[in-house]
Amino acid sequence: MQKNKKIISSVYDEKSNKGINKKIKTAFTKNKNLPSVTLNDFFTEEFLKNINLKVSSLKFKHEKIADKHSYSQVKLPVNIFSQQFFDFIFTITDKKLKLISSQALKLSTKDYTLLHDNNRDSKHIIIIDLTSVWDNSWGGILYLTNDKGEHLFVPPHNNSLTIIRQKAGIKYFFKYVNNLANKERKLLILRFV
Amino acid sequence: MKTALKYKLYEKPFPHWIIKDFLPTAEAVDLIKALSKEKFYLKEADLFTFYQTNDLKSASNKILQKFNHYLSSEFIDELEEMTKIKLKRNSLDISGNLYQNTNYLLPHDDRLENRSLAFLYYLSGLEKKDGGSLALYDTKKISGKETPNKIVKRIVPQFNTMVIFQVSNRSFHEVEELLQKKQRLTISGWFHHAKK
Repeated sequence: MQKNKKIISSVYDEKSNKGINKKIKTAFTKNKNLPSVTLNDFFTEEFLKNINLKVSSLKFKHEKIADKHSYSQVKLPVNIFSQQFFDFIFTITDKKLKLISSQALKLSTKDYTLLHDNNRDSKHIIIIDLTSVWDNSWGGILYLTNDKGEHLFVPPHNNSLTIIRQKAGIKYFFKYVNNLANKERKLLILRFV
Repeated sequence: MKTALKYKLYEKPFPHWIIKDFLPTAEAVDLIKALSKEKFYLKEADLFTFYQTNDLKSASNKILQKFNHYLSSEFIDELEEMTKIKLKRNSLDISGNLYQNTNYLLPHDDRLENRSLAFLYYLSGLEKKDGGSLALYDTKKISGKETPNKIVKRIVPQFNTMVIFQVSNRSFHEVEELLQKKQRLTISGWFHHAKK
């Protein structure tokens, strides 16, 4: 995957980075069965610091619907992202999308989401990972699945951005966070139609 | 293979039966030995992480065959008497299940493929602090649908104890995460409805 500076510039200077955007677009559509792409080290350090500060100031509330999910969440202010950020997403997905929900999520020990918790209305999902320290043996890994039984997983990576096209049959879940975890996962989830 | 079948029925949060000292101890120990020769495969999904054998109906081990035969014949008659539920013959689902540290099974109701009664036969004993309890949920109706509300009962695994519960739209349960470097070994599965 492309490294940080090039990708960051692709957000802010689309014209001069058409080639990079094209590569990301290709990667996004390459896996037709599970169309998704993860971009590591996506935001600048300064922006990441700023977004972390904003998210830390939000008041999370723990919510458990046993047969769907268990996590702490808060609605995310939309103005946390610039129009340039959304333009970049529209470029990669090749669609002018409409944001229908945005939430910040925290997953700690005993938290999880299940497949049938998926919002069927959304067509594209953006997941921004703000998890600073994580060991994969703690669980909490993001899995994508389709109705053919195929799946892929996205290990936690601080400052990564995952774009998923949620076409029919594609679902995602965060694996149960087990008792070995001594930190929490922090994520931003944006849903579009 | 004989049981004393001293069972106890509990109605809440949904009907379940507990039979302590299900088999003579020596037979239970033989089952552990027999299971230890079976291959356990890692099972992972959104709902669970644990290890499971293939369907024990096809096991070549004579002790496992004998146990399977007992559940499918003599025990099923006693079970019908006990639960007043008519069960289908020769349709038992049965497997060995092993939970290790961090393994779990998240809340679900077990409704699938005509299942009528679920059973869990514990071949290891744990303490509450170890995790691995069978947790039963009460339910509340949301938009006309039974939805798990909160855990109202925990059954801590006890060696040589059989737990049976009626599968329904209220039978929400989970196996809580195993929190210690111990093993939770069970033989479990389902009996099916006689008709449908």
